[in-house]
Amino acid sequence: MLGEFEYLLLCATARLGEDAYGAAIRHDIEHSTGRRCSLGALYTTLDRLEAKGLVETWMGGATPQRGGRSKRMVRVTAKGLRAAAAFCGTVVRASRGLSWETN
Amino acid sequence: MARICWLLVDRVSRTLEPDERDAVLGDFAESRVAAGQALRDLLGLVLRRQAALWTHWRPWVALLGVVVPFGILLSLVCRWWAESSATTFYLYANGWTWAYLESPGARLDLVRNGAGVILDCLALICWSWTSGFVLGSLSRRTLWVNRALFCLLLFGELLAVRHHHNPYNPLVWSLTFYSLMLPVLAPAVLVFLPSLSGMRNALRLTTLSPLQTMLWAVAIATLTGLAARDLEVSVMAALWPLRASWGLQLLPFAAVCPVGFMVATAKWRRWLGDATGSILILCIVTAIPVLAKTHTANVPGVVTDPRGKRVVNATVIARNRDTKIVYRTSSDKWGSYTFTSLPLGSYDLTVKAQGFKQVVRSNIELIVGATGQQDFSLKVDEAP
Repeated sequence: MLGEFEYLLLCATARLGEDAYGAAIRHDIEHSTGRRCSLGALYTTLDRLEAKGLVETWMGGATPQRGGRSKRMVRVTAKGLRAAAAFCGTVVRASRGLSWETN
Repeated sequence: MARICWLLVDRVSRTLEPDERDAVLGDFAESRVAAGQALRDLLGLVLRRQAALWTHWRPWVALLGVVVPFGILLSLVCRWWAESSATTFYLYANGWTWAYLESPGARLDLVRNGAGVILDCLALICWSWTSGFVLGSLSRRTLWVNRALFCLLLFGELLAVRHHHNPYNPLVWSLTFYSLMLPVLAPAVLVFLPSLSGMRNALRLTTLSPLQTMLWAVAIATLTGLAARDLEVSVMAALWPLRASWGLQLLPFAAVCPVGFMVATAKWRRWLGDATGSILILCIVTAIPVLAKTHTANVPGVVTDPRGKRVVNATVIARNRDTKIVYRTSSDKWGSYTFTSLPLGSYDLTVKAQGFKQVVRSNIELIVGATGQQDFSLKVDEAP
């Protein structure tokens, strides 16, 4: 079972597709959740997901706007897609019939 | 301020793996993040990475096996060296007179004192370099934490114990250079810089070639054998409850431990085909200090007055009857004195103290590894 942040990271990576790398994923998570995403949490969670075989990462090309430094590119694996789908399904099922609206 | 923050970001990011460092610094550049924010983000990542590294055994072995014991040991030895050498330096630098070169005895003293100082310096540098090398080999990515702790232990004793372990010679301690600068310079130059060099070499090489290892092993073993007595005295000066205990006999072994590690991890396979070479060299390295120890003996004792009260600052002289070499020490505030690692042979012991009659005990035989207690009860000198 995934953790909340792990799920958010998989969502951002899947959404970005070919353009998924550290800074872009971080920006996507902050944009979609409205919360700050710390660099430490991002990279250590990426390592954990990679160790579980849910994502794969590699060093991509350098660009001038990055000061000539490489990107850490990320891709969701088939196992990662299944884990994200299972997590999403669990949340949907667990929320069925509930309303969280407050007065 | 921003420049300082970016400088810190650059320095701190070096603790990360090269690929990760590249990715993180690239992310900062692309996001145009403020320097302070970048530093906070980076520190968060580095702390998480360090916490993960400390779940392995290697940094703990480096901390408990090298940083703590050798930080304390080298700090004590260095402090003792600085304080005991201060008197020698003062004698020759501040009170120089050509009379020091006139008589053969004075010249011999000059050479002996100079050689003693150089020997101690070399021993400290070698112990520190090998300790640094082992520290670097054991904890590569956690090195900066262990290095900071090593530094803290090395200089911590100076802050914790402000008074001099050697309270005599107030004239020497009245000079700022001897009382303040030398105790700081000595650990910085003789311990910190060599250990830093050892750590840098360990990060580049991981293991040394058999030839380099053997050279280090022979140098360390010889120096440890020669400086074993100073090693014991320095610890005794700081930790008096250890006086004449078996723990002190093991100190020379502690000093060769780092080089033992280097021998065990050297690339022997290419040379000898298996691990027997490492074991053989390790035995030789440990045997030299042991042999040096087994040709010496310790003589501890207590000097008391007729009422059994301890006599402070009594001069105790041991004269070897064969070589005629004279060894001197004095009783401390508990009336205790110790001659450590005296060469074996027959000795005359003389005790002098102001207001008391001189006592001479002749023909005391020292045998291998003996710790022959020689207590003296002085009689009051009633002569006018």
